Amino acid sequence: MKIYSLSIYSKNYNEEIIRLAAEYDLSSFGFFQRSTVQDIIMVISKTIAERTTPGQRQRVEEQPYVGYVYARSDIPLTGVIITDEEYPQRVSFSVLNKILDEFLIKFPQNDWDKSNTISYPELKTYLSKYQDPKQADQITKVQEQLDETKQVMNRTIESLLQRGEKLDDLIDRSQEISFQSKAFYKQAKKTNSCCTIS
Amino acid sequence: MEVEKLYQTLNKIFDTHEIHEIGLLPYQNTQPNDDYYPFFFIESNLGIPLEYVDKLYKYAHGIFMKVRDCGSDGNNETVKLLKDSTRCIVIINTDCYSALNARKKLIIDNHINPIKELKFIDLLFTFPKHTKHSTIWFHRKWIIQQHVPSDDISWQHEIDITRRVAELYPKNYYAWTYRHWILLKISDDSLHSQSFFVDELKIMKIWVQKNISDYSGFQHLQRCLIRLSQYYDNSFSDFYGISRKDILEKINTKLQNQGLKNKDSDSIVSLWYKEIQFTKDLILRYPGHESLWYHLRFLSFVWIWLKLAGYLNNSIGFKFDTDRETDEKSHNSIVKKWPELENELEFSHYCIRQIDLTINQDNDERFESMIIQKQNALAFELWISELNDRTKFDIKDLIVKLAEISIDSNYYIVQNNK
Repeated sequence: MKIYSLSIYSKNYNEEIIRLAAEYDLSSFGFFQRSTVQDIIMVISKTIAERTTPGQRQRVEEQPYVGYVYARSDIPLTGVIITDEEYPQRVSFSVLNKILDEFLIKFPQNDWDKSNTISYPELKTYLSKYQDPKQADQITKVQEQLDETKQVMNRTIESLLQRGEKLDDLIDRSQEISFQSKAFYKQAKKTNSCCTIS
Repeated sequence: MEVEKLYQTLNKIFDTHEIHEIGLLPYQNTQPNDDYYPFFFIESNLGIPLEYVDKLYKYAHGIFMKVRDCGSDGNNETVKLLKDSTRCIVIINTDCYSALNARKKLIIDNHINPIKELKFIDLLFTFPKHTKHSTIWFHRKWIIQQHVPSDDISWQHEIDITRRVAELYPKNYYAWTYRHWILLKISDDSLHSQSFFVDELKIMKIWVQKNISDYSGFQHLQRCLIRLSQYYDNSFSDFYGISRKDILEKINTKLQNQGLKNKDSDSIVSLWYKEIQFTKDLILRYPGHESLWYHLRFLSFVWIWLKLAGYLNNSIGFKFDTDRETDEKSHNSIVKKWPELENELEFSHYCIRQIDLTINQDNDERFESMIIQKQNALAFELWISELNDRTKFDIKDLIVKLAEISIDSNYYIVQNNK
């Protein structure tokens, strides 16, 4: 029952996705894996956010991670939470609702385009607080009924990608991630284990 | 790069630094004029580029083969060669019996300090793959049992090591078995051991809540409960080899628990009763995890055994069951019901009703976990019915229901072969 990452995205005037804020908790990985896992999660999160239309909620699986994404319908703002397979879906969407609402109150839309990232330290606090899903219970209760009626699309990364596209290629082409991470990822794929060499 | 130089550099790093973690790197990101090239040494963490592993291993193995027959009776120089080469071998392959045996000999002959060797194993365990070899765990046990005075053993540190290992490599059989073994090494007759078991139980309750689908954690939690019960009553069963059949046989010939102080008996009952509540709460909170239901089965099994062994005296149910008046429908009151047969059945029915309500309400993707929850609730009902010798009619009825919703199960096969 772990949250690995929380991140918030918007789109710029070119309709390209931009990351406004992101936090990671990778303490369960070893020193040499941590940066690779972070890079992979970053690419997965961005890919998911990019491929979610306004108003949509999706659950996206890419073992051993599960990503939940919610794109607001009123404004171009999307939240992504990456968890393990145990973390409850209901709680994940509540957390996303909460952080997007709060983010909007703190930062008006005009502020977003000026820089790519916004300092939003509360995100780190939420990331550690909601590691225990019971902590999210109060916010969950308020939103439960709302969530109950909304459809959640169940997806895998492959089904989100366009024909001929592959996650491996996206990772290989990404300019944001280091060559070390790319090497780790390739090696891990060979031994069929994510981000560790064994 | 010359392998001799490589080997020397590695030894130099080990001899002059304290290292926190090791890793194998599928790349090389140091320059020939960097310190310790081609090894990557950063913030006390040592990365070994994958491309040199082969060469290093062969070289170290060669040295080991040459000097191992001189043994540790040899001069200082051969002892040093033996220590360094086996260290290098074990870093790359912890499963090398000969190298570990040579190191055991070195410990016996006082050439390797056992405490330092334990630290070295701590380091090996930072590389996840290394934790999946029984040899290295045995090496650790051997050192602790034979070469560390019992007052110098930090069991808390041993617990911490297994905790980290099980985090880096989940469902790690060796780590959990080792942790069970720690519980057995702690005697069950002192106040200090009581606090050790209580603390370990607390740690495990937090742990299982964070890893609810990992049964290895629940199994260790069960061992903690048993050890703590044994502290209260040293004749308390360890439940090895006690089966459902034994329970059924004993149902008519009640065992009496003699001579146990009421207070201790109450402590035991309260311990298991709280655990049952804790587990039912998790089941309702996180539907669809088989591990939770299996844990509840174990607890119900122990509960019946407690009853047969005379721990549940007449009035005790009322002492603990204080919330009878609260709202009957709330989650809380269902969880707190005294775990006798009809209440256990009611718990299962409550779970099923909840699922039926949710499934009717919305048809989203949680469907799968709901079905799993329902299957598990029915299977639990069947299991506890059989354990309590309920009528054949009820049991048949349950099998029919189970077969209906789980077409890939044995229930379906049993039902449709008739």
